[in-house]
Amino acid sequence: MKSDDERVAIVGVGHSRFGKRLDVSMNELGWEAIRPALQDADIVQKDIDFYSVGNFGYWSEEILPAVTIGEYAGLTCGSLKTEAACASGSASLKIAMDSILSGTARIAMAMGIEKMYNSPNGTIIELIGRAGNYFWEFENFGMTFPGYYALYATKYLDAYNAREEDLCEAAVKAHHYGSLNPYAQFQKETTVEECMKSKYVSRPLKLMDSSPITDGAAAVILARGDIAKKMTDTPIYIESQGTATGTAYIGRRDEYTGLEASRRAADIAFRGAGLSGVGSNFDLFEVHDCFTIAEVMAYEDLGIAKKGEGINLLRGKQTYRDGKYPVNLDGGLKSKGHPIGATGISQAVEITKQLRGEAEKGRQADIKKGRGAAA
Amino acid sequence: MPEEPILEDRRILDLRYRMPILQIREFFTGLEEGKVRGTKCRDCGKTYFPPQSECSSCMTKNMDWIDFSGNAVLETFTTVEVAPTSFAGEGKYVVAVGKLEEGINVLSWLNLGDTSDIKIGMKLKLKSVRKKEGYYSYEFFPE
Repeated sequence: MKSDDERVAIVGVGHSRFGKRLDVSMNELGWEAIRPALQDADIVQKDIDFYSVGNFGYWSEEILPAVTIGEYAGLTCGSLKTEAACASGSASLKIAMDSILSGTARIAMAMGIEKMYNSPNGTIIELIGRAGNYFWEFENFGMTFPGYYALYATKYLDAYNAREEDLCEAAVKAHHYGSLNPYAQFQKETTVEECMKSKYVSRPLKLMDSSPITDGAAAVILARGDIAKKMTDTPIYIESQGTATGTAYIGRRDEYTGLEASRRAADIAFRGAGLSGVGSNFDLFEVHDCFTIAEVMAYEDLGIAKKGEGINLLRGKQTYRDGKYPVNLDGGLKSKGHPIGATGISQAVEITKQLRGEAEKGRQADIKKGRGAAA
Repeated sequence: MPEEPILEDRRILDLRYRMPILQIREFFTGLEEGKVRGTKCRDCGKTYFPPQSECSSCMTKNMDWIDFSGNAVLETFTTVEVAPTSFAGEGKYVVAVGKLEEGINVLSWLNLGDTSDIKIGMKLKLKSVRKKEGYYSYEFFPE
């Protein structure tokens, strides 16, 4: 058992409204998440020893968000920006957590932000398509991000006799919980029929299988365990975090029905928390459903479903709030939105809210184990 | 809802990347000769595609260029219907991952007229192609 000063806890959370946020600049959007996080933790800027900002960038005009947002927010301690593709937010959490574990910070802030609508759609599709191996995949073959996940979807549907309608079930669930989340980009329900009628983006994935372009920010305040205990009655401990990196070139992967890097990261995280696997250790999950197929693969890579059986969990509503494994009760990337650099932090905010029993009506999980997991 | 006031900032950037290929020049000369190549480590036997001039396992440059037979089977594919801006003139295109008989997976376009009879597991041939703009690339074709 780790002692309190060897642990890190979340003591404050803040979340901006996600969506098309042409009412605010990047710095203003960042502040929209930082202010409530500071207030929630009941601290002021000078209490923070270090902060990190997850951001992918490219489509927004400010390229030094850690500096510009820090200036707007009145933060003067050390900071940096983290980029780890779609895990840029989770990377921000890791760096801030490590700053405490290393002993260099007592209280740190991890935030993430993305301001995508500052550029036209075509520019965004172009730039995000490069988030693979530019030289060998984009330059001659014009890969897109939906394209990458569509390669997985084609293989998965073929390997496990699943249908596009099955994937649409993930969208229906996402929109159901998005409709209950006041911070979500899309707060309306959808149906399998509506999903099936949506336009193909990259076959077999359709518009309604895809997370949207989103502006958003999220922030968490972290404190060393012994300090956290004095700050709040409800510290949410980060028991462990696992990281792994897959290959950029998709050909260097040896399977297209799951993400090997996710499995490695999950294994490291479970072991770090002293768990042998997912078991029945968790009250809820947050998974990276940038596309419906990604949600299904995440079930299997986390171990809540056996290989090829992720679809069955959806069919049986087992990942709804009242099912065996509640997943993405905030609407997920699909409905809440996917402001890339903010997504990992948004997951941490959501798990914190859920474990504190502060989620909005209709989407609060039953907390028995007091533990959540994000992938 | 009224549109928010926006300050439009328009700058035209002409992106030109100079991508060094000196260390893998044989790959491109191979394409001109009608061959698609990878590299293979003389010490550990590992085959690299994309080709690397140095084996990261053995930390040596004892690499040979090997010409792939081009014989492959289709692992997976997608038809890109919403293309990046710089591919807007291409229409819909099929991107495939094929497994070469050398055990290497390659991503490239799958060049075929009718997309309705594509099947995972179908036999493909990976070939060097000369594009209409004059440069060389490689694509899969149905066998």
